Amino acid sequence: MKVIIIANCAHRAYYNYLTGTHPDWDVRAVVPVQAKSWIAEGREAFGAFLAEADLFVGFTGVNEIATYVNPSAHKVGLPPFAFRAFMPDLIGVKGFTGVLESGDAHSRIAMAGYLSGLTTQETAQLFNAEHYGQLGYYDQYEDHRAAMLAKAAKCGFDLTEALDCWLKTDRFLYYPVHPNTRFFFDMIHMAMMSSGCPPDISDAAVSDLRNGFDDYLSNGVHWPVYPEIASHFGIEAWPTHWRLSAANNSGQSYNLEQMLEKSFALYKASPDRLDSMLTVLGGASEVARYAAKTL
Amino acid sequence: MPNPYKDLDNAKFWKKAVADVAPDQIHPRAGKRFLLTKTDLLATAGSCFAQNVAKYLRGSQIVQVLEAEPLREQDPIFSGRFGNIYTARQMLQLFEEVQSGVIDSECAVQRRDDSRWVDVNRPFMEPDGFANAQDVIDARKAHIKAIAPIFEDPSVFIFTLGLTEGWINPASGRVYPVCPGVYSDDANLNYAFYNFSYEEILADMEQFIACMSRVNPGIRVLLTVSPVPLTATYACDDVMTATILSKSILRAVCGALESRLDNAFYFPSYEMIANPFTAGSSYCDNLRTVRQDAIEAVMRRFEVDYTSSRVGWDAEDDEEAICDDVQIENSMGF
Repeated sequence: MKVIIIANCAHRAYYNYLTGTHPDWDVRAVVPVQAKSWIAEGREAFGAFLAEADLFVGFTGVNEIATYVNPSAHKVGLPPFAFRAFMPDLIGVKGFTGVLESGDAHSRIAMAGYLSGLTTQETAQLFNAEHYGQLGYYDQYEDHRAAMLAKAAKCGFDLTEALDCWLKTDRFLYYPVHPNTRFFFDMIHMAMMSSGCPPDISDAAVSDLRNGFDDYLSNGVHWPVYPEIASHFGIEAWPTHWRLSAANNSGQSYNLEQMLEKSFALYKASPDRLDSMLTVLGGASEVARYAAKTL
Repeated sequence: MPNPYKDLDNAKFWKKAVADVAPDQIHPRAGKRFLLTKTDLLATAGSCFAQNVAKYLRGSQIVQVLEAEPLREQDPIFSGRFGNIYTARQMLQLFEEVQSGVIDSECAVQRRDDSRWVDVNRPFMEPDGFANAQDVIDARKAHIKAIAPIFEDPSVFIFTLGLTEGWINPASGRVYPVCPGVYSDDANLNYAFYNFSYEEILADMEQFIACMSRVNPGIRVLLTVSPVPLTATYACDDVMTATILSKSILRAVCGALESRLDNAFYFPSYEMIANPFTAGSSYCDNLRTVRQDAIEAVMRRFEVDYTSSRVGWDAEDDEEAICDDVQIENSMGF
């Protein structure tokens, strides 16, 4: 059985699951960008594997790739994961590496504070329960939950029970797109079972595989769940700090004041990014709202 | 000098955002946006297309939609029973009427078909009409008083610009939503065709937004342009040419407002519907009415752009996100 997995940072988890539950299968995994690049280059070995694949797992709807996969291959769709309701202050500014030194994540309030001319001390005062409420930070849970469930439903399986269980679990998320990788284990397990592809190993072996599953995303960047937000949702305020990747960087952690100092220094050194920051926040009126200033 | 386009996202490039994208995935987007939350209160007004937006939002529970007057089943779905507001001047006129409390004393006009009386400012709101002119005036007084909250209370005002062409009373300067001659032979009515210019519409909208912002500081105005072509034109051009001119002017006005005013935003529903680059038409067989599935697609994009925390971090990005912060191979097994 030839299996091709197309997924982003979850592809390693899916690979580990499938090679563990189906030891005899020939499993290959690749991230979408790499796959598209190989297709564009005309890499023959890759093209041949796609054309011969019996099972296509992951982002089965990416047209640029799906076109080249064996049309008879069985498809098991898995949605991209993202859950931002516990980290609503995080926003991406495309192409502008943020305070975590990897990826484009920035704090909305930090950006608004800088753009509004506040000091880091004044901006730090905005990180409070009341202001979060005014910004609608507590209102996004249901929307994000529903969006994730809808994405799973579109792939043909019901994620409700597993997601709800995970959302009540402390230390579930490291970053909005990085859950504990056992979540990916549970998701692909459900998708495979729903698709009529149960594991070739015993239930006990599946359980052992899950218990020992490599949680490689724990070594990546961390964005904190702010204490007031954690309290609102009744979960542990964890991660507690902004942390650089421990795998690819120093793993250094920052508290709020240090994050603001680092962010403001970054913005001061990047005057060409101010327009992007303003735009991504939604314009001057939104900046004023995030910075709690009257226009 | 570095290449300024180097770090721009896919949305900035025609090939990546349009040409190479599945037609149902093309997603026009304004750069300047804001975030709606469930505590936001919305008011809606504008041309007939705005009703689609209001109807969707009322059903979606994304936000609270203000209903200053109880709507009956057959009423156009806006925040009050003012009917379609096609021109910027008509919107400004209604706002000034509410703020001054001085109603249009010449609003009663007798209908041709059944001699019943209607309000010239919303002639189709009461299908049965009124028995006499005074009843029309009394109803208008109550209406104007009732709709004051639509300007004072909402945190977001959604307005769809529909037409540049209108009919005005040369003596009073009042603009009517529909040419009175279409439904009335009232000899007392004096009206003339008027095609508002870009400058006039921009000035009217700037005045409207500035005045509304004074009575409601913090209000954000979300503008759209109706993609519905003109039913008929009274300008010298044919209806197709007049439609394109009209929509172009309205779109340009939105662009100017968005650029000049901090609290003015534009949602490109017009671009989503009226562009020629998507497969199939978004219009019904009459090439005028917008198909329901197209409206639903527009509103799904509205949800993505304006709700939850997705502003600035697109849902589609999830699939492209590469996590270079952990040591993940780009491929395994190859």
